[in-house]
Amino acid sequence: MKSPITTLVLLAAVCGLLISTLHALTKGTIVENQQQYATRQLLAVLGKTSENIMQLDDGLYFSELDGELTGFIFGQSTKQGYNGNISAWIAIDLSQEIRGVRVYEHQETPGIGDKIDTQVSAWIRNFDGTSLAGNNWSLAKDGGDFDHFTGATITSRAMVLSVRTGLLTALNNSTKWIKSVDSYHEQH
Amino acid sequence: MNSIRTITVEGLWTNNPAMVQLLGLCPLLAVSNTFSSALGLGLTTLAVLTFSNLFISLFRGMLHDSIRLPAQIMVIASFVTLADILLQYWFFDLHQRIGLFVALIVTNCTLLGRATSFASRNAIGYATLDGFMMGCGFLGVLLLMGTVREIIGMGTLFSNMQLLLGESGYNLELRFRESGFLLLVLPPGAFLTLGCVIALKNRLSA
Repeated sequence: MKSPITTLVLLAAVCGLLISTLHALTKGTIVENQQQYATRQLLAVLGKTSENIMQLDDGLYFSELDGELTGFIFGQSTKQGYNGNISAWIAIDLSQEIRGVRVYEHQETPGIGDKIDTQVSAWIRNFDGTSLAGNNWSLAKDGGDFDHFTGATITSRAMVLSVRTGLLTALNNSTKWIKSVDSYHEQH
Repeated sequence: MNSIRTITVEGLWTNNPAMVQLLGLCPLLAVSNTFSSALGLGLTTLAVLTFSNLFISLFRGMLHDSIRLPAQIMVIASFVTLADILLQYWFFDLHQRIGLFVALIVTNCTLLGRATSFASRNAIGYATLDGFMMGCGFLGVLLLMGTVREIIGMGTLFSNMQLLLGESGYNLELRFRESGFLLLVLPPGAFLTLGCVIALKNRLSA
């Protein structure tokens, strides 16, 4: 009879081998799935459009139609959610008005907080057409313009504040972003 | 005592993990708010339970008493990790929704309970069958609760089935009412529903 420790080590080795083999076999597809998911959300922000989307930077894209700049899409994350990060794509036009918001990563409670996901609910479309200047950026129950969805005040509030932060970032960086689109065209 | 028949009846009814042993309540209560997430996590648990029972039974001769528990937990955790990887491989969208609870399957005491009390003492065939039947019993209760809570709480049934079935799942959603009695979808509703299910079971088997 081998010592118990040897058995435990052997068993751990077998388990470790199983996991690492499966991980190695599936890693490629899983990364692809993740990217597909993120890209799908990115395209969905603009809805049906014939615009081209091009990458400026990590988490920053611009859209153009027939060579004319139409707006920017950027990633915005918040830790204010109920559980972990909520990351979303925000699309704005050149007048800093929101064209769409789509959450691409979150771990909110299934059935309650996940209504920020368009697959579950259309709530996120409330942001369409809003702007920093034109709206009061808090929940209706806090005196603002945005209704929360039932059962998930924290998630709703996090989303509203996160989109607001995103818009502020976009406003502060707008000249810089437009300049980098120009230099993007010079390089390509 | 160990016939295929008794193992089946025990897992599905007389010793059902969710209704009689009251094990695995954490995932049971957390994901039973819609049919689709109940089905997704129920099937994952079923698979993990079956394979961990098989594996533990396979190594049962080698496991000294002093390392039995850590070894079993390690096997269970490994199979949960494997299931997590496979979910991301096949059902990435579903994983985006229930991924959080997949890791929690490790803490589902049904798994450790079956490993300790059955798989480590019985031949591979019986141990695998026991894992499968216990898993089916768990899945059954999960689906029943998912159905009740989704219909009453949200007024729908089979919503979001596209996460499991792909494109063809979009048309499955049945809508009974515009909105539901929200309490049933929230955590207290899980306890209330489980209480009713257990009461019904006790009534039927009394």
